[in-house]
Amino acid sequence: MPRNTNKLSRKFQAKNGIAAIFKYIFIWGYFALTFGLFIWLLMTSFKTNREIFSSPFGLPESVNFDNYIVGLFDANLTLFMGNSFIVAVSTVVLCFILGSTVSYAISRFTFKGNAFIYLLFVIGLTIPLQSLIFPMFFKMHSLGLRDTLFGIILVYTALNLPKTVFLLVGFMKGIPKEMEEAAIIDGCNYWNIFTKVLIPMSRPALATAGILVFIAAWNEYIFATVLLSSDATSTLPLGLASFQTSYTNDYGLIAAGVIISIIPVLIAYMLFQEQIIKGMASGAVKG
Amino acid sequence: MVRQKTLAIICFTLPTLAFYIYFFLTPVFDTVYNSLFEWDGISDKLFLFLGNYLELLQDPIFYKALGNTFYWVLLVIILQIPLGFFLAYFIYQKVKAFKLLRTVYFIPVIASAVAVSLAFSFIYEAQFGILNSFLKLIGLEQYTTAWLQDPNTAMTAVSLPFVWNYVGLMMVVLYSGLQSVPDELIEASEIDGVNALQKIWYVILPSLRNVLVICLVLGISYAFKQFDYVLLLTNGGPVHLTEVTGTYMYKQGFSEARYGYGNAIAITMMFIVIVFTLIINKVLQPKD
Repeated sequence: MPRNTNKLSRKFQAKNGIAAIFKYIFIWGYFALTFGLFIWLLMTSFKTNREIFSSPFGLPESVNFDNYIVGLFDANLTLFMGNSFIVAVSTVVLCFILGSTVSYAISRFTFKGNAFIYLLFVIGLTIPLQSLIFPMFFKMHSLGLRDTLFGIILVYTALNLPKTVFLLVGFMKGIPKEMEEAAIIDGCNYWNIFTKVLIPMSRPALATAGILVFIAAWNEYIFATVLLSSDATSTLPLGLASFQTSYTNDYGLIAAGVIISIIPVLIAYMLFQEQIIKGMASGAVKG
Repeated sequence: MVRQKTLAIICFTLPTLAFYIYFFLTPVFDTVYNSLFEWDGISDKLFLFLGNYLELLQDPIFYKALGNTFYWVLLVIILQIPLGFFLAYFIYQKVKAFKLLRTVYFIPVIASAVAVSLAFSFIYEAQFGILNSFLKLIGLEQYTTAWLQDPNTAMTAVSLPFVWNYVGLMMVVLYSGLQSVPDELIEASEIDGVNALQKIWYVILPSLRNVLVICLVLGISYAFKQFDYVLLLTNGGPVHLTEVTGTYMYKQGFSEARYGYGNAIAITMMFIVIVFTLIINKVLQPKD
């Protein structure tokens, strides 16, 4: 990423004292708003209800993990997290398998219908996915997959395929043909070229797609609330949303739940920041 | 060799294509097809042809929901994109700790809508919520209210998480756009002695035209599809005041068991988003 702001514009800033002050207030103010909310939730999660009401802004009297223990073990968050993890990882794996094969064909072979197949996936990017909830519901119902993790994995895979294919085709088109030609001379068949050349070379794009799909599946709420109905299959967003009704006045516990749900994506984000940001920006360009 | 290639193409495309057609494209067509029927999910479907759409045209609640959704589009234009732009523009000038700033701005984008909604339900909470506590603290107790239930404030309250959630995304998209603005252009304008606002208006924004178009398209599609906040915070209430097209569609289907009508709303949403995308691309067509 070129960091190119030049000396000139720094000199320029110095001339504009008021503009500079406005700028700092703005960027740090917005920072404080976003970061402050997170910290406030974190502090609330360590408080008892009595503390929350008596001093909403104050520091917790002690770092008290009760809310986390209750949330994780009594309120089933461990189960919901496990479900979310299974769903998100399986969705990523299925998207990889289905997405990388078709992307290989689209990007490396010239054949009739090539562009058309690609177009089908690009069209998928423009459709507001939430408008498909009714047919998805009835499809899963008729397949007997409603309220199963397998069913929601299939749905999430379908919804995330356009994005995956879009990212992978874009990347695979840029891989030089010579790589494959060398492999053909070495006597590789197409399957070997795919697994030994294309897949290893596409690792950056796979990483980007994988993280985006993981976050999307981890966070998804609308389809989960429609398709899943029992505690045993609830994903984290669904379980967390149910806190609103089952623990209405237990604010510390709800705050702990929110923190628990954010931590895994936050870690993923910290680790793969550049990839996530670039992926979202380039996905956004077409999505 | 040719046969082997044909076989390879079939093997590599067919499984995915079959999956995609069955689980993605068929639902799209099902939505169109079912929007032409009256159906409660159990009894026989009754063919209405465009009946659902005609009813939609005369449904005041739908217009209310559509109005609210367009209000979100307006918020995208007057708040989300400008905020995202200024954040991107300022951190692009290599302020101190720009990485930290960018990291934190982006956190709302990766947090789930459920987490964001719960966090905002705390802000608005009547007794200890940040907002009311803060107003009490600075002696403005008379302005405290139950933000999500009060008809005067409910819509604004439910819109804020939506705006806040995607400012970070707009920031990132615009930031990557800023990186392709040629330095010479900025330098030349500085030598000409324009002031900060002139520079933004006459130099930066025109160079970002294409990226701004992307942000607009993105914002419109989010305004139509992100109704999680409303569903979780107010469920469209009080009395449909905060209804958006997404929640109305959801409730028509799953609360009223009017799947045909719900599908008609879904198709109308799809149609509006696609038409807007086309119009924006046509009218604000990228210039070289």
